[in-house]
Amino acid sequence: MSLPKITPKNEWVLTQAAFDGFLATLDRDRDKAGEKYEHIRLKLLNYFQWCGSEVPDIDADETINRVTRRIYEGQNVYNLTGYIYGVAKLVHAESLKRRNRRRTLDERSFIELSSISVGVEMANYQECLERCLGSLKEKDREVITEYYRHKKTKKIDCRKRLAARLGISLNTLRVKMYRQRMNLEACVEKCIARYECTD
Amino acid sequence: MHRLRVNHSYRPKKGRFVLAARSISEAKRVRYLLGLSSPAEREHIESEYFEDEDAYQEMLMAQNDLIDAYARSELTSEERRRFEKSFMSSSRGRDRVKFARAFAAAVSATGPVGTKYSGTLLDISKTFQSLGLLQTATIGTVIVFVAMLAWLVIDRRRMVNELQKVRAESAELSKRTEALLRSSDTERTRAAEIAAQLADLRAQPDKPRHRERGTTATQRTRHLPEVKKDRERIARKPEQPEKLANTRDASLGNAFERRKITKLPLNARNVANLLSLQPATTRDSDVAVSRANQANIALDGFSVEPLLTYPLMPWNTSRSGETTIRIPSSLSSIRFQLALETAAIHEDYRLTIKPANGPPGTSVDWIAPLTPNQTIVNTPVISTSDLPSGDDVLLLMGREPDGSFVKVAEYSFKVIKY
Repeated sequence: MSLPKITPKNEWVLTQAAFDGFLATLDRDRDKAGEKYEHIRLKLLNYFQWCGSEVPDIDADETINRVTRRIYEGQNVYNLTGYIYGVAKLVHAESLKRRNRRRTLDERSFIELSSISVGVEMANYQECLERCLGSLKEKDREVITEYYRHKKTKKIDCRKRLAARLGISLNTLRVKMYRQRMNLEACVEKCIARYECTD
Repeated sequence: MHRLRVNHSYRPKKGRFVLAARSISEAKRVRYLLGLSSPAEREHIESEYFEDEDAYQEMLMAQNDLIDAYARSELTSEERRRFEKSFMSSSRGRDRVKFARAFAAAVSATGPVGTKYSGTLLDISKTFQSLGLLQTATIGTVIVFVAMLAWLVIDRRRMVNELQKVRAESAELSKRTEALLRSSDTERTRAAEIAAQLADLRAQPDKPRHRERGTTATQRTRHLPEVKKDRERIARKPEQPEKLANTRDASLGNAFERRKITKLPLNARNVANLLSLQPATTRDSDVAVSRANQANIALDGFSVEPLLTYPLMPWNTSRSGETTIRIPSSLSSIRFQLALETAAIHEDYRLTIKPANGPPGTSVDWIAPLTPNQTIVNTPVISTSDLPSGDDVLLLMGREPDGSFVKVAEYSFKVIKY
């Protein structure tokens, strides 16, 4: 079996065969491989966001493309996660260089713009949030509301009491609330997307 | 709360968000998200959450907390600036902040949406409290119910057991009643027979011997119809002879019941004297044609063999050799039961045992609390080695109020050891 032709980095385009090869590296079962791919992409998204990337989606996809290409070209990858992390660091470094070169937006103006944008869309968010909260089960809504209700020191005490009342540890409650909040956030995102479509 | 070492370029004031982190690792994560970590620390955290799923989840939760803190204005101005640099530069980050603000407003009692929900939130809080109370009450009820159920089961089992015992006792009593009835019939028959014989004996001297036989028989049958009937009954139903021989093993023995012990006339109420009622047994509990250690005596079911009590009677006084005490070599100690001629008046006693013609030997003091009309005094345990073989004398002395001892009684006996 002959290896695929090696092309320059910028010219390479992701193919179905290459992506299938990447999925096969993740898991023999294609469904499980799909799930793992989604998870890796989400992890990369967060990584680039935490690194302050302006375009975490593009950077995450670029990382996956490069890894896929390497695998497709026959490189033996023994520690896939570590390899992906290494590639992500390179992509991030390149992204930083590009950003510094462009200097299209200075931090201050960007933040101010962001703040204005946030203020404009708040009304839609509140309406969507009310809808999504209303779609939750009553008990779930009560718990998440109670969990995020208070601020600072009072918040800590309240969460401890809530965990004790529910008969679970504080950490378990934290994980539960995290998942619940992610579901709520996804619901709001969908709702907002509908608003944007109608606008 | 842990005190953190922070990057030299940023020193957050005490009580701010980073320092409010619950653990060092959590503070590290927050610092990483705010871009405050050193390169080495950054490398470590990143490789950790790429490799370890739990670390990644922790990072996500730390990020949520940080976004929340920003939305609730809990960050310092420096933390806020750094947060905006990291998170607000991407549309995804801005979306998350928007959500966090809206959510904070929705759940906060003072927020705009919170006002709308305030009544509901209060109700929710009350519901939580009532849910807690309801849960406690339910658990309590379940515990009480289980305890009652367990008690009922145990009580029922106890009652069933008691019923079985009562039934067994009832069956036993029925058997005993039947046995007593049979015994009563036998006794009655014997009494009638004896009465008839007595009547015969009384009637004989009054009648001439040569012509009395026929008339006597007639008279007897005429005047004693009950006896006749009894005789007929005896003739018809001969009693089964009692089994006197033990055919199961070679042991000989008999149990003296409470009734025998209390009703039979016993000298000084000495239970051990009942042994003389046993076949081939002497009053000194010697059994004929056997060694002493082959006999076993039990009182109320407990063996009394290890500690034999030897009674000494008042008539032993000053009459040497009246009583012979045989002490087996297996016995290490014995006890005397001393019968007094008059009621005891002392509580403190002293006994001295010595050879009849020898110097004083063993002397023992003891206290014997008095009972009304007490004529029996039990001595303490005496070692058999203190009892010289041959003719001995036991001198019993009572202690007077002034502390001196006076002679109460003297017993003579012969000791034979084997």
